[in-house]
Amino acid sequence: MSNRHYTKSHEWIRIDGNLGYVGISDHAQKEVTDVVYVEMAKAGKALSAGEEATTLESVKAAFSIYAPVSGKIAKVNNALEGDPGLINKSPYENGWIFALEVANPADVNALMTEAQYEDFLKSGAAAHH
Amino acid sequence: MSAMTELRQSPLHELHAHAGAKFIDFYGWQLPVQYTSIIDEHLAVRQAAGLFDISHMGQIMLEGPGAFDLIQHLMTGDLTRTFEKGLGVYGHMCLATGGVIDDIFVYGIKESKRFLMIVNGSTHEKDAAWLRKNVKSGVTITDLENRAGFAIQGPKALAIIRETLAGIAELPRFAFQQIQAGAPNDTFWGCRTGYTGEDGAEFFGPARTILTLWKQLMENGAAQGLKPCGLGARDTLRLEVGYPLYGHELTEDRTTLEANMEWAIKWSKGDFIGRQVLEKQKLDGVKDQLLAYELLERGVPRQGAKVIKDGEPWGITTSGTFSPSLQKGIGLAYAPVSWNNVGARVEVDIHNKRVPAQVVALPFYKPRSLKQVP
Repeated sequence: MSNRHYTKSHEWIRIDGNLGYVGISDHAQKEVTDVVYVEMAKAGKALSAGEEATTLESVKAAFSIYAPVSGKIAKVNNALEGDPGLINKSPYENGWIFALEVANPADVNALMTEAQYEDFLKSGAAAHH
Repeated sequence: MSAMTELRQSPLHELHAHAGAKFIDFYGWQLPVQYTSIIDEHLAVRQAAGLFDISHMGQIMLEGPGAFDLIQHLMTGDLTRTFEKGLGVYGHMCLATGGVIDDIFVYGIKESKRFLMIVNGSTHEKDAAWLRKNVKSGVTITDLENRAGFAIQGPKALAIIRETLAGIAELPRFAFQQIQAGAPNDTFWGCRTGYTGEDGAEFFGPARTILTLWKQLMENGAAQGLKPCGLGARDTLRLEVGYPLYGHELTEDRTTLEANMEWAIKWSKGDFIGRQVLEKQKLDGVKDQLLAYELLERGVPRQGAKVIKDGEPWGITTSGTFSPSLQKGIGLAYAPVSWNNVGARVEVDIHNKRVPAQVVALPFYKPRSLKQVP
């Protein structure tokens, strides 16, 4: 099992030291379809949990990406500017979107584990956007 | 469980499900939106070839000594073209107001006085009712059932067809042929038309025959890069060449002239419903007209996005997308006719941000496999 935690809006967060890397789940990237444009999140911006961090555009529609926990945007994935499709090809690795300097790393415990997220998807409660 | 309207499925549905298609609800039909990726499917059509299920489109047969005159009376296109040159005829069925009921293709056989009319899935019932309302004696209208249809499109489409079927690939663009496949009622139509701007053909016929033909083409074409394609790619492909989509660019509230499609009106033919208003509009000029724009910065315009010029927000986007071929945002919008000058600067409101754009000529993208659009 991974060390990622998930939100009901299909973001994942992986804690690495005081940073929390954020992306969208494999399920979400399939729903969103080909990502063609990622608006770069603004480094230094402080966000509360659930606040919109940035948006991404696919061929199909625009989608908001929310901060899974509170924190300040420390890094953005500049590789997405040239290759936004990384979100589809590698949602959990090269397709991370931004990293938060997390206010309190223990906040992720309020989110779903991977196993819980998979149950959430199966339950149909995830029915979409 | 939530209440669900029963969705109609194409006779090719199981093939799509087996190929891993993702389905959406399209005007009461459950149809593939994509199999692998909209962009991959889009590029397959631009570079090799793609197959599109279009079984949701209505196939209506009009027969009898009065059929020619009836259709001439109901559409902006001129049927003499289908008789004299053996070509399919595109046109609009208009209300008396000039508003567009639907955009259609008609293929006719002079000797048998039979016409196959292909109408949009979203307007099928409305079209059939309009035909029945206007029908005169000497015409039989049959809304064909248990039918299917598909399009094969792309620079390699004709080569793939040749491996499977003789004749069709040798026809000129817009021409058509009726093909006998075994039993007499297995006749199907092969038409050198499409909705992607690429070369290719569309096939319409009995569900069983069309299913077999799809399988054969898929088998023969896979090695040449033929891919099944969903509605997602169908939409980005048609928009890149500036083809209108009913319900977006074409509606009952807009005329053929406002849609900037005067080429679809054959003024040299006789009277047809809507002609009077269209003639007056041509004389007086239209107030609003469909224009095409390209974004000059990154972003993806969507239907409903406002178009602004010199601070005035009088434009409204009817279709917008990210163009996979051009790698930029493109859109069609109704706006004051005075804005429609190639090179004119406008802005498009995307998520409350004004993105600079430029008015361009259609098509946005010129396909390699065809010299002329449409």
